Amino acid sequence: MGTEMKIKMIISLLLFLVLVPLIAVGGYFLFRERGYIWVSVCIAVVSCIPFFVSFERKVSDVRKTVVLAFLVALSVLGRLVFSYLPHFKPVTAIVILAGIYLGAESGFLCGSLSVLVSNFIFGQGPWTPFQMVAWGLIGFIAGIFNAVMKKHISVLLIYGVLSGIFYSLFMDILTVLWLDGGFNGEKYLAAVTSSLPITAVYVFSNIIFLFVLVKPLGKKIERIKTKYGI
Amino acid sequence: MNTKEKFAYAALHPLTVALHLLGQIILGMFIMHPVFVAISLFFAVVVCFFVCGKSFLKELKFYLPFYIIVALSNPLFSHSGATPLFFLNGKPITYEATIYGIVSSGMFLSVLLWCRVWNGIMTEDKLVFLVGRRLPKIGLVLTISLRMIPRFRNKWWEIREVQSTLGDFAESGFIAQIKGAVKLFSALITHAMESAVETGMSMSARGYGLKGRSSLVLYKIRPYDIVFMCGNLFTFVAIIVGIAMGFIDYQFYPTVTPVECGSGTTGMFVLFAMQSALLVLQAIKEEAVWKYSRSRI
Repeated sequence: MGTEMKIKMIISLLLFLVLVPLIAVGGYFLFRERGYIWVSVCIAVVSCIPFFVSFERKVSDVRKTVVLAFLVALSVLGRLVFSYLPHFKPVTAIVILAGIYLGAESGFLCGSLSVLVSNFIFGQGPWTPFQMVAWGLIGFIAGIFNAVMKKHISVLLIYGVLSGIFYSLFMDILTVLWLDGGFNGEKYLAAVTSSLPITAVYVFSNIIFLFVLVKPLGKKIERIKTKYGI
Repeated sequence: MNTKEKFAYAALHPLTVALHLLGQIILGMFIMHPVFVAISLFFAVVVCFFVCGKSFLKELKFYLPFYIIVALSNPLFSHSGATPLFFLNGKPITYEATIYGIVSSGMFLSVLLWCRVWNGIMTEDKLVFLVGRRLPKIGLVLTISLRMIPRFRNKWWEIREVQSTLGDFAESGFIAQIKGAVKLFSALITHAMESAVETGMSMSARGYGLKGRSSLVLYKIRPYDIVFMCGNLFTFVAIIVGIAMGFIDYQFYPTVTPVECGSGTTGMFVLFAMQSALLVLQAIKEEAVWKYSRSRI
C-alpha cells in the first residue's frame, strides 16, 4: 500500500508540474489578451483538485458526508432566499461553521460545492471556479483555527469580517482580469475602491449571520455528532 | 419534460453530451464576436425547444426581459466609443456601447441557455453516473444536496401548516411573523439534519461505497458516441486554432470592427454552426430512425 500511495503522489505532483505551465503557455498563445482570464480560471479549477482528491481518498463516515451535503443544501437555499438583497447572503457564515464543526477539509468542500450547486441556479461562468476557491479557502482556514473560534465568539466574528474582505479582494482580481484582459495594479485599486460598499455589505452580512447562526446551527451539529457518534 | 424529446438524447452517453455542452459554454463565453454569439444563441434556443418542449415558451417570458435589460443597461452606463447617437442628461449614448450591450447580453443569454440545456439533458442520475465513478463521495454530496433543496421547501410549508394550528403566524405583525419563522427554521434544520443522518445510515447499511457497486443507470460508450465526440473534438480544436491564428479577432471600442467575411473567418462560422447544431442533428436523426422503424412494423 505504501509504494502504491507514493507512486500516486508522484503522479499527481507531476501532473501539477506539467499541467499548470501547460495551461499558462497554452492560454497565452491561444487567447492573447483574453489569456490571463483563461489561465486564472484554469488554475482555479486545478487548485480545487487536490482537496477533492484527498477528500475522496480519506476513509470517512457516510453519515458525516451526508451532514456535509445538508450544509451545502442549506447554504444554497440561504443564497436563494436572500437573493433579493444583493450581496447579503448567509453562505460565508454557513461555510465557516461547516469548517469549524466538521473540519478544515469539509469546510473547503462545503464552500466550493455550495458555489457549484447554487450557480446552477444563479448561472455558471468564469466566476464559478474563482468563487469555489475563495469560499473553499474561507471554510478551510476556519477549520484550521476551529478551537479558538469555538471558544471565543469575538474571534469568530473577526474572522467573519476578514473573510468578507478577503472574498471581495479575491473576486476583484477576477473583475480586473475580466474587464481589462490583463492585470494592472492601478485598475485593481480602482476596482477595490469601487467595490467598497459591496465589501461592507459582505462584512455586515457575515457578522449578522455568524452571530445569528453560530448558536443554533453549531449546537445542532454538535448534538447530531454526539447523538450518532460521528 | 416531454418524454419523446428526452428520449432523443437518451441514446447518447452522458460523457458525450457533457463534453459537447462544456465546449459550447466555453466557446460561447470566451468569444465576443457578433456572428459567433448569434450562432450560439440561435442553436441554444432551438435545442432548448427540443429539450424543454412547450414549457420553454413560458421560460422565454423570463429570459427576454433579462436580455433586453442587460442590453440596454450597457449604453446607459458605459459612454466609451467614438460615435455618439444622441445625448441623455448630457452623457453621450454611443453606437459602440449599444452594439457591445447587444452582443454581450446575447453572449450571457446564450451561456444561460446552454446551461438550461445542460440542466434539461444532464439529469441528476447522469451527473452522478459521471461523477460517481471517479469521485463517489463528491457525487454523493452533490446528489443529496440537490435533492434536499426541493425537499426543504416542501417541508417548510408542511411544518408551517402544523405550527399555524398551534397558534404561530396567527398575528399579522412583523415581529410575530419573524418569531414564527425563526421557530420554523429551527425545526426545519433539526428535522433535515436528522433525516440526512438517517439516509446516511441506511445507505451504509445497504453497502454504499463497497467495491463492485453498480450504478442505477448504465451507459456504455458506443461507436456512435465516438463518432459524435470525434466530430465535436475536430470542430472544437479547429476553432481554437482559428482563434490562435486571429481569424475571429473583434473590437468594439473605440470603433466597431466591420464583420469581414474572409475565407478563414467564414470557415470558423461554419465550423461553429456545425458544432452547435450537433444536438439538433441528433434529435432529427433519432426522429427519423423512429419513423423508419415504425414504418416497418
